[in-house]
Amino acid sequence: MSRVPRRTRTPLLLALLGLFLLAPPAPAQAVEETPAPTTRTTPWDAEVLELFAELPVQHGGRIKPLHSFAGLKLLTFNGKRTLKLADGEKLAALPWLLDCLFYPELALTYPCFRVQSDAVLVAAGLEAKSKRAWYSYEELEPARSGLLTQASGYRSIPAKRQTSLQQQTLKLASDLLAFEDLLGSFEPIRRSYPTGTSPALVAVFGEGEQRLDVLLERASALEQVAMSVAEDDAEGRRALQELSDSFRAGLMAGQAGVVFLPPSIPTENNKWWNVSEAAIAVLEKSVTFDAVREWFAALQRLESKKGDTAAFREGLTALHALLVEQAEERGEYGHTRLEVAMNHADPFYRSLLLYLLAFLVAVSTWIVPRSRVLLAGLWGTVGLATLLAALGITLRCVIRGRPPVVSLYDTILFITVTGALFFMVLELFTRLRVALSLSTVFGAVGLFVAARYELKEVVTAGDTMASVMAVLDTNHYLAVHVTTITLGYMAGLVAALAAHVWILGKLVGLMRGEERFYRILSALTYGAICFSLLFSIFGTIYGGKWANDSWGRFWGWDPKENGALLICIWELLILHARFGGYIRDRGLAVLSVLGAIVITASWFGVNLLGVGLHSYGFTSGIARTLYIVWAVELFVVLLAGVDALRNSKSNDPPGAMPRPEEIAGGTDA
Amino acid sequence: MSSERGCCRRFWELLGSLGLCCVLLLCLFVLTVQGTLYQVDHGLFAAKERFFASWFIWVDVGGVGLPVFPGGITCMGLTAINLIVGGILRLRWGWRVIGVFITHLGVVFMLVAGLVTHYFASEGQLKLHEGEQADYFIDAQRWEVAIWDTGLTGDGTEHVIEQELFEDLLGEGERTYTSDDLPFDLVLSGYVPNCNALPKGPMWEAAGPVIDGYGLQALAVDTEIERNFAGIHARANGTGEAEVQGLLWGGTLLPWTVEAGGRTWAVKLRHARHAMPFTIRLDEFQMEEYPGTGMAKAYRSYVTRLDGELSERSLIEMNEPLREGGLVFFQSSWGPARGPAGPYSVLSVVRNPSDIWPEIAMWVILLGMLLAFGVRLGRYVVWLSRQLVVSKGGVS
Repeated sequence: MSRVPRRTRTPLLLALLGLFLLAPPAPAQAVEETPAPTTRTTPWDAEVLELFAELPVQHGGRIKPLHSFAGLKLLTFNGKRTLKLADGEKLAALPWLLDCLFYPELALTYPCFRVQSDAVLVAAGLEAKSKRAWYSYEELEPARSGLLTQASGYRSIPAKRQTSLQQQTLKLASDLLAFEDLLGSFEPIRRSYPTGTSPALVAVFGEGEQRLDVLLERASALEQVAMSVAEDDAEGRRALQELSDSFRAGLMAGQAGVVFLPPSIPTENNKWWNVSEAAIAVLEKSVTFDAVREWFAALQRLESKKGDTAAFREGLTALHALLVEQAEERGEYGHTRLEVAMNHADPFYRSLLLYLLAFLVAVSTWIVPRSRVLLAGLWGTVGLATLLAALGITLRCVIRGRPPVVSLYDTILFITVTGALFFMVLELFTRLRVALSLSTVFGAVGLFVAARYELKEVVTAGDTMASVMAVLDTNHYLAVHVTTITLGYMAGLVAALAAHVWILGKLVGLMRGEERFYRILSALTYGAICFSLLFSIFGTIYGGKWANDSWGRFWGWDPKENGALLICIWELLILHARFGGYIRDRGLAVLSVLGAIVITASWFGVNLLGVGLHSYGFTSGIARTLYIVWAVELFVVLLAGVDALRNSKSNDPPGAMPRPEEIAGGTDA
Repeated sequence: MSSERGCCRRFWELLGSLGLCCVLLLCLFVLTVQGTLYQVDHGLFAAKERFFASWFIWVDVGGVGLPVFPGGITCMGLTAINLIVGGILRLRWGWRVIGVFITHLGVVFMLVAGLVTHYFASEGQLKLHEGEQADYFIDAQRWEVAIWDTGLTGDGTEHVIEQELFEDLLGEGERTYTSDDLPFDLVLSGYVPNCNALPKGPMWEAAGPVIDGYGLQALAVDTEIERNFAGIHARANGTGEAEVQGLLWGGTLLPWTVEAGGRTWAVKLRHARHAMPFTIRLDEFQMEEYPGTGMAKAYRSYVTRLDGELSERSLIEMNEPLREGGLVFFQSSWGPARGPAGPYSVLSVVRNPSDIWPEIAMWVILLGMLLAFGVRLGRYVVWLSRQLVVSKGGVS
């Protein structure tokens, strides 16, 4: 592993080495040397993978299974949770991570870094493969120094002012360093530490090289050694210096490694340890070696037996049992197994596939409209898809102990599921198949967007279930305010989608002559707008109450607050214009489509501005997608205008949805 | 006469019309969009002043200010009037419209709450290390000039000149402040909203006079208004000496001193202070982080309210403010430990007579909307059912 350059992180280790050299003496002990393979020749054993999957890891402020950790890391570097190797073979995230930990020489060759633009590499002095390509660490290493230098310069530029190239350089540099951290995780275990031929050291350790656990156990003996080596004993001092340098390098290599060791003592903010931190705790005498003996023995055994599947599995079983028991003792193992089960089930991906299938069935029902089997099939697939996605959301709630919507990623999932449900309920009222068909579109598009946004959330927050800021640490407000606001978004988008069908249907002559179809479609749009307004207004004002309790003012004209207000104003405008007779069905449809622009601007757009108190929601890199969505919506509005001109003589069709007071049979204030 | 009546009637109907309502909603929409985008380059404070807390949006056309769009106060005020007049004109009592009536009542109440907050609320911050106490809070967005006798200790009287009385002295012109309790008159001139006080060098022009080699170097006003340090030129008349003048700068801790009437007077430009009816002492500040992230999970302040003989301990944390004596204290922020004093806690303090009015309005609006939409949903379902009956089981 000498090929991987190391960073100098902290001078703390220098001080620790001082401690190490001043430790009290201990009796001598013979050592053994165990060579281990540097490359993997067989696939990882399934049982081994399952045991590793459930190992608890502390990352991003929470305990999560190693399986999740591996997926998030690979997703960050690679843009996907699986890795395509040069020979076409696909490697899942967990085996990839295990290779990083146990076979770093092999992991260096994996093309796991997605470089979005060749300009990043060209600027760092490397020849790029193509405009966008995947690279291994080995391939990027020549440009490492240049990338880090550039990134260090870019870091001082405010995020809002960074160019795309600068952002990509920063990300690649950060990925390289994070990858090095992974590779270094077991480096302290993997290394052999030279104890030389100095009689004093030989007396403690015997001749040759030593493992980390032996060094730690004998650490106290070194004080005696350090004191007994005379000033003029050049060989003895050189041996001590060599041991000291090697030890320091080993610990530094693993200093930012995977954090998976639950300490037996109280630590600041309940921090767990990685291998180096555990070793340092022994050196600092925070814990005795006996408290960590089993960890190091098990890890050392894993490292030495990694070429022997059976022995490795046996060692891992013992380590797994030990770590799970210790995590459970701390009450921190929590829902780790449930999270692994959720990862395996992959409910959102499966739900997306089901929605796509449902869409095909929906198309079939329009081709063969009288088929009851197809209709039942449509209900079944949509229902199953929605149920599966809802199950995914529920599992996320249980694992986090939070309401369903905490982050922007959550909002996409929640809006998708509730929107699909909303359409299903509307279908029960209307039985036109249009609402049910739209639920397939809503579900599929929503989960597709969620899958795309997941990467962004992982890159920026490190997790899709990331820890929340102090101000958000209130399940009451998250449950009431955020959920209602999100339901408001959902209903507004449902209205917009129904309005699209109205406009495009009129344009292409869908259900020509079936005016009831369009009247009911308008009624759906109107009802969804009312629903959206109810939840948007309550959610917005309840957000004011939250702001009044957390920031000391009910309303501050913050961009996110303004975004919510814009939705309320727009929907009030639609309802009052409809009520006043200023618009009819076409106007309702057009304003509802424009409402989609208002909602997406409030949902994502204001987060791009990067100003205001809602900094936890800031995002970037989605502006282009938003502009495309807005352009499409404006185009639909333009089409509505064209259609209106075409039918200008007939205006709204006879039998258009009656005004609310006509439905009500009275006059409202 | 009848024509006048007709005009009045039409105006009255216009005031309460749905058309005006739609126009006002559209104006509010445009205003909110503009005010949001404006914050990116100019900050929240400037956006609020220009768009939301104004009667009109003014644009400079060839050196002449023209009102080009109604401001937030105009739009919201007219909306309230429109709601009230519209309610009077169109209201028909009955269970079908009671929800709409209640909703509009709640909206009017909320707008009134906003108006009261705008004109009568004050806010600021209280920054305390553990063990420290204060009986006033600081408004970091406003300045004041304070004058006091340095010989007096304890609760000596201070003379305070509020920002409103000197903030317009941006260029030429000066203003004299007198008091029977002061042995001199204070003349203020050349107010600079954001500046540095530096030894005058050849590379920059001082804003106003250079005094004892120092001048005020004007800087662009920061969009985060709290980051600005104001400065102003001061002259003391009637001290018995020919000319006593100094520079007051918000960034310094030391006051300018004036010898007059046999006493030494301190004159200082500082953030505006608001007195509290009691004292707050910070007993303990705690902060929790998520492990291994450096990200705050929670922070909280244990404080004691000291009011005469009364000593009352309370906890203030995120989303859990302390409401006491017309003031509300929020856990706003904290600062790092420097030296032996340890970290400090920053509490936001708000005095707002309409503190909970919006919440009351919210429940009223919710009740109204539930009633209104509940009734409407019922009729809507009936209407849809009729449509479906007509279509004999749906369109196929």
